[in-house]
Amino acid sequence: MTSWFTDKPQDLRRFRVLTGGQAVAEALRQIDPDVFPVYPITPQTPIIEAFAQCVADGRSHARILTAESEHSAMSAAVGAALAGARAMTATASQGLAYMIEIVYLAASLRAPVVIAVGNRALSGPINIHGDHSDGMLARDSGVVQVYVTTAQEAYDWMVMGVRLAEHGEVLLPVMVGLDGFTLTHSAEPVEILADAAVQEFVGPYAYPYPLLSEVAGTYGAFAMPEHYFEIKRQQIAALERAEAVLPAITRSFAKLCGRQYAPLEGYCMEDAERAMVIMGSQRGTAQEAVDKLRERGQKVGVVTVRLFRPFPRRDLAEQLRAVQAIAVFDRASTPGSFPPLYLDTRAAVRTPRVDSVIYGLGGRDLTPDDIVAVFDRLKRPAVDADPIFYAGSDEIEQER
Amino acid sequence: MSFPDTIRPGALIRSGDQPSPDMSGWRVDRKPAVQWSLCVDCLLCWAFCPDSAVVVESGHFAGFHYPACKGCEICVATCPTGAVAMVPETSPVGPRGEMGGEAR
Repeated sequence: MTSWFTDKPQDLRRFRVLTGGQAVAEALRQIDPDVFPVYPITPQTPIIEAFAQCVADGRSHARILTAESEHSAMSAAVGAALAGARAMTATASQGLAYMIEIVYLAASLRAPVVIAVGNRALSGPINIHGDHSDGMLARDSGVVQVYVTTAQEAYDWMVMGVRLAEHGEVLLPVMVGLDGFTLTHSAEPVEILADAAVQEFVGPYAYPYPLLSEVAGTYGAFAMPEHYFEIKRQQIAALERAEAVLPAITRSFAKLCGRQYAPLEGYCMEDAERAMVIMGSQRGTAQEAVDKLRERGQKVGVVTVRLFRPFPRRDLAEQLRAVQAIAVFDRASTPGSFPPLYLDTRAAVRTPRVDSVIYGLGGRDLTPDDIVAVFDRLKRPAVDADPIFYAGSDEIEQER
Repeated sequence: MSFPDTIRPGALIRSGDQPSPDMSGWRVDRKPAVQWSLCVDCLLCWAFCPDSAVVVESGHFAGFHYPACKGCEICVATCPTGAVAMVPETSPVGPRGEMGGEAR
């Protein structure tokens, strides 16, 4: 059998049918972090349930710290990471919202914590389904953000995320976002690497300035304006470096399994005249819609963004260079302005026509027909009075 | 103003990164001094000093580091034998506030 990512023959015995949550838990078991601080509700993902079972069965030496809140869970992760222990955690939705204060601290204290986030809507109304609003809360915190499109990618990016977070030039938290339910609770074949291969890939945790060393130090001190500005600038530069060091990590990962990742990926983009930009699990739907339109002779394509922070603006500009009209699909909103992926894309390209589409809030389905309708809309003149299109709510005249 | 080279990732601060500031100006006319004949070397003043202005050498009280002292008088309050007292800034005591003989 050959995998859908590579022509290399694959060993079928390495494939297991796993949900995204279970796949992340498998990655956690193989990475075997020292500390895994979590708060087990509000809502949580199946990740900690599956990983807690591994620890209970003696298959991981990790210490699971069940904190009294996500705020404390993230605080414990930061403390452990700076003390010199490999710390990872998982959360979702309101849980990430409650963590967010310490997520900013984790980034500024340069604690390389890998965080799995089952991306879900924020209340209210109360809703537990998939969207990217929770992840967008952490957008400006300074963490590396990856939004994966399959359970396999969730597994792969957890493993690569450790190397990226702990890279000496980066030392920042890495947030691996997998869409709630669409990925966290849906099962698909996932290739699980050998335990030894993952352990060799991530290597031992070697934080360069551990608190538990022979040299004393002050962590998290107050900074006056002049220093604060420079420290923030240094932190921003570190996040930018994450994009530069990523190719070496993805290449080294590709040697393990043949799957070669990039910050973003184009599909049918070679001669595309109209293109859409999207993140997360709806990539499959987008590609299906593109296939459908290609059969009708329409030159359309899709770019899937995986690395959201730092934003791969040069790669995106290159992908969209020859495109005449773009629709950017956001699964989050910025009330009163344009949504995040739209603004980043707008800033990266010079294309005059860039439409904003908001889809899938609170888990609403995005259908291939919705996408076809948006591509049709791109053929007509822009409607300035109504700049954002709400998929599934707004009517578009369909071409028959 | 730019000093990225002097900032460790995470703004971690190590001992000696910054020169200690001179806090002498906080004191108002008086500074602590020690009467060696009364001192029992209990180190309570060292434990309670909020500004690390009490010098300990080889485990023994060795006087005051005046640039760090803000004149709060906590050392005077904690001294169980009355060996530490506030004296005028102009008093002819030793450079570390030594009076009346040798340290124990």
